[in-house]
Amino acid sequence: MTLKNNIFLLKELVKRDISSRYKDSMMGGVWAFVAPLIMLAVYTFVFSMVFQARWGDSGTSKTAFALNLFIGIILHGVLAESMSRAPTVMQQHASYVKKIIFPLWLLPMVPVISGTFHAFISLSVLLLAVLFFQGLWPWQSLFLPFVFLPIVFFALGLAWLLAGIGVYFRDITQIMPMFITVMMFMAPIFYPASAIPEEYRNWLLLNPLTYAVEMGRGALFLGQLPSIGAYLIYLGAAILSAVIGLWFFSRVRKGFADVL
Amino acid sequence: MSSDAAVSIKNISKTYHIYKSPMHRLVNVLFGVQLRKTTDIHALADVSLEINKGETLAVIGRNGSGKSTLLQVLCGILEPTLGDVQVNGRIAALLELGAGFSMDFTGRENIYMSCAVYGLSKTSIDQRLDSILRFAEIGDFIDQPVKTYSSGMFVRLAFAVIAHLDADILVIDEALAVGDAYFTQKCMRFLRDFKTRGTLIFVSHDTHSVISLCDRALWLEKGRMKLLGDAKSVSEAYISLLYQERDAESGELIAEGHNEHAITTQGEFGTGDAQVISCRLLADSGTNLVLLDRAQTVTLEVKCTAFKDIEQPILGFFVRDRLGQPLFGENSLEWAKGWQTIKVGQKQVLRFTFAMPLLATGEYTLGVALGSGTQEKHVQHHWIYDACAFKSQANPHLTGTIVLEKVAFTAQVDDAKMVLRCDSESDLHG
Repeated sequence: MTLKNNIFLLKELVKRDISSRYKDSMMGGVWAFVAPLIMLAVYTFVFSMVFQARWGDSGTSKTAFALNLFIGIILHGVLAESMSRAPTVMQQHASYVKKIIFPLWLLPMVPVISGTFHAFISLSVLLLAVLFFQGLWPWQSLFLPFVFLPIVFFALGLAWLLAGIGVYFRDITQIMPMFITVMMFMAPIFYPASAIPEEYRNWLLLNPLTYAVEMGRGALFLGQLPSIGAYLIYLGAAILSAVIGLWFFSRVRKGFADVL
Repeated sequence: MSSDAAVSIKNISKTYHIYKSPMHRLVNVLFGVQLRKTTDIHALADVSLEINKGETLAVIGRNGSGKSTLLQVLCGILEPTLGDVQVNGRIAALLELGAGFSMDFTGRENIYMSCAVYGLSKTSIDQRLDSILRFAEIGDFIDQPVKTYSSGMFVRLAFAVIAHLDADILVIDEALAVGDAYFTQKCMRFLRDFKTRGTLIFVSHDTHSVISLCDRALWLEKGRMKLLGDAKSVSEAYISLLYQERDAESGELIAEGHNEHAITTQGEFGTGDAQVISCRLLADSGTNLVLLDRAQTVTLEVKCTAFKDIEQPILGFFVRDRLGQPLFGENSLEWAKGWQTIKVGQKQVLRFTFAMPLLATGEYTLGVALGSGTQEKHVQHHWIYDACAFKSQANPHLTGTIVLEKVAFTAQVDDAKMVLRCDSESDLHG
């Protein structure tokens, strides 16, 4: 199983996955931009106008809350899409499992990659909004892709794990929405990490999102970069989780055809 | 595994465990331990086989004998419960019609996808595309979603793709059966050509293509290896078993069905005053004729009995093709002047010996009729439509039904003194 031989196949699978979402809709791919735009508009209205929420203690601008929230939601979205779709991905391609010789390990990668694709579209909407409300981005924003990199690896690990479990244990599909919501609230998405009481802060670091969201905010809003050491440890943990996920998947894969 | 082997399987078994809970199955796959006792279904048991590079192997057997399971294990789709599979080379499989095609996508898109699944890059698919399209001959339909395709178009597309993958090992499961004759011939030509450079593993019910295409055949019976050997002898053994069982069944039918009244079993009729007990067709070697592969003198042997005295009995037979079209037949009136009676309770063995021509490849049935009277006025006591069956295998280029024998050909040029004489090789010494 080499990625090199299958890169064209993976590209085709992702292309199909993304295009099938907008197939037969009149505006087609425009929706990919419209959806995050509307979400951001709603967040801005609710949190800035209705709640009049302020981000952190300092006297930040009115729109800061919505923008800070949005980057958290984008990062969460990558994991959420992978986690909600991975458990059924093998069932949906049962004929690939049973009837043809197919590099099955590619299949759980598809929701991760198309989730990342959509996250980058949302990110570009966010960047425009930041430009509009706060002026030019700090140069540290160039680091943003590296904020996503570990999250993608975590998502891959989860996708392989969940796809493997999902074949044997269908209940996982029911558990996932709850789990995704827990992940959202148990990460500093609706609040800055500094708002968490000291004694709980380390617990939240167990959520892979916590560190990524904080890094993203630092790079985009505060012009801060994480320390290289901490970042590499984080990235290493992410890669390790992907490796474990793939190991698990290739191990349970042998029984797929018997179950599906 | 020797270096010549393309595929080597050792003592493989495939058992389906029926688990009470899916968690038990997950634990088993992950850690190899069995939590609870399971109900087991044995799909394959202790199959060992080595297929050499460039060899062609057929797998035959009844439905449910494990043929498809074996292929799936070979392809790595199923994991064998026990045993070891080693594949040496790139393997491509056509296991089920249209499997792996996405219905909403066009034929062209599916070509790209199927080739990509095999690991081809975009440029190498681009290079093959024309050739694939030519092979498939689907025309403008190639840009229509494949859900609009007929099954014939499906198999053409699937086969065209598989023919262009440059695989070392091809695994094909019954896929040719749905194609029209023209396409089947085309596939056969491809497979014959492929044989010269690759290994072919082929499941088919069509013993003719098995014999004409394959070197060896494996006969599976209830997941076990029943016979492994050269394609012709294994196929013949397989067919003869099938017919034996069928004859045994119909034999019981006759025995049970007898009463004073007319025989009403399906495919049979008559007064029931006399009865055909058994009927077999013997080749010139004296064994049951299963496969007719050359013209020969055959003997039809009919055992009969009577429940009343039968005066002036007549025995007739007729040979029909697969469609029920009668080809030829004869009755005993002309040939058995001395045969006067069958006494009540008497058993008689009647034999017709005649020169059987070689027939076009296919299945044939032989019907027998036992009656009494004269050509003009007679009654049927027992008429059986399909008393025996046999297969014929002739040159596939034969046009028509019967292969001519003792053919000679001359060409004479008007003014020349020279006469060209060409003899057809095979049929003259008959």
